[in-house]
Amino acid sequence: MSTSTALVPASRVVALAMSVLEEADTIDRAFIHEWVFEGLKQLGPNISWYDEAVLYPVEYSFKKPDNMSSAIDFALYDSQDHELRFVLRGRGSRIHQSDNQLINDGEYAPGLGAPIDLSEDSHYYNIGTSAGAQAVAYAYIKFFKFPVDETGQLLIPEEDTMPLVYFIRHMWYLRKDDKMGIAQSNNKWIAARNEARGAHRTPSMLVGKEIARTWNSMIQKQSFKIF
Amino acid sequence: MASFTKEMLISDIILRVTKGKPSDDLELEPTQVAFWIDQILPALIKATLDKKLDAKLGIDPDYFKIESCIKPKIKISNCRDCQDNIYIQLECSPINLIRDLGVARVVTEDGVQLDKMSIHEIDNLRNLRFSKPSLTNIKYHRIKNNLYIYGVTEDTMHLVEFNAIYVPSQTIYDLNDDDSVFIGDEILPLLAEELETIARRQLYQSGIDEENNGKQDLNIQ
Repeated sequence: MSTSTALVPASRVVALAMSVLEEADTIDRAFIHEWVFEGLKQLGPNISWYDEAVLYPVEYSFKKPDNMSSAIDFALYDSQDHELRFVLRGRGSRIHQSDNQLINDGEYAPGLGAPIDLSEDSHYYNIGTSAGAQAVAYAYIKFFKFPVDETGQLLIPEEDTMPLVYFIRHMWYLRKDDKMGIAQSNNKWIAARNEARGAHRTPSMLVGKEIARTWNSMIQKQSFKIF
Repeated sequence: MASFTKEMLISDIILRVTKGKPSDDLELEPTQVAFWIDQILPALIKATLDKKLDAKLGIDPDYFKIESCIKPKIKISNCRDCQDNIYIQLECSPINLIRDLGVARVVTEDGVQLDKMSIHEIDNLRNLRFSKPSLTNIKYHRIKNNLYIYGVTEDTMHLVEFNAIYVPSQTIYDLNDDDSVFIGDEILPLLAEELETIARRQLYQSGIDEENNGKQDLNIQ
């Protein structure tokens, strides 16, 4: 079953973990918040992590959102709200010369369908400095982010709660250097992690129907009434 | 938990060692007995509670003291580069138990729990993204009866007050004779026995195992 979009505060996961760690006290709890974050990274993104933002260029660069994990989709628009084509050229700045003179001269403009060069680095998306790039007014980005609340504390997808409890239990045994506990908890954590990762990839009913509809449209239909 | 006055406790010890006939020239001062109690009682409480915690039985509620609405204070550093310390001061010093479990619970007035830090791990925690102390993730460590608060700054300390539940250490010596003394039921007989042994040793110069039989050879006159 796919992961729901319901999010719970990290403190709920911590409390649940404390309820099964009989010997743990608040000295351990101080570290458990971080373990939740580490566990969440290992479970990987799901639909609860999704967000979108509008970015405005400064000197041909768009600053990436601070809470972004990785991009899902990106779109460029001009001031008339018309979408502009782009080609992602890779990382950093251009090291080869552009050999398309029409684009370089601005004759083949983005408004006519000419692609705009786009590249990215750690903190920015950069568009090319060709004549047509000045037409870009803003960009939309859909991205994966770590879900956090308004105070910056982690939010956890509800269905990832138990896998994270297993991870916390595993980390707690690591902290205690309890080799028997480490060996036993590791298998449970790995099994729970794999199950959660599988659930993250499972499409929802809505997405499933759309996939089925797309595939169905590709199958040739025979109209028996006409035939 | 047994509750009686300081005078009752000391008088009982004196009656025990004098077989119920204390004389006017008794060479045993009540203040000295109080001093012995202060030496023995914390160790007995610690041993008893540590054993219970080890057996995962928890601490009896009778031992706890609750303090509410404790306002944080600031200890301003004389040096400009050093950090000022924000702390709350408890009325009594909590007893030292394993993993400092003598302090059972510290919460803000809104009920948000403060995590305890081991003093050795503060710097590790500060380097962690979600475990580092902040206004929404307040932490503390204890030195004597001061709980040093991390995550609250000089600008935000007026926004918050704290409640604490802890096991206080008792100092009998400074109490008045009619002040109450609280001693756990399982600790009282052990304390009385220890005090009796010390008092006999002082009064009768005995306590040495002269016969080498594993017992103190009390030469009671």
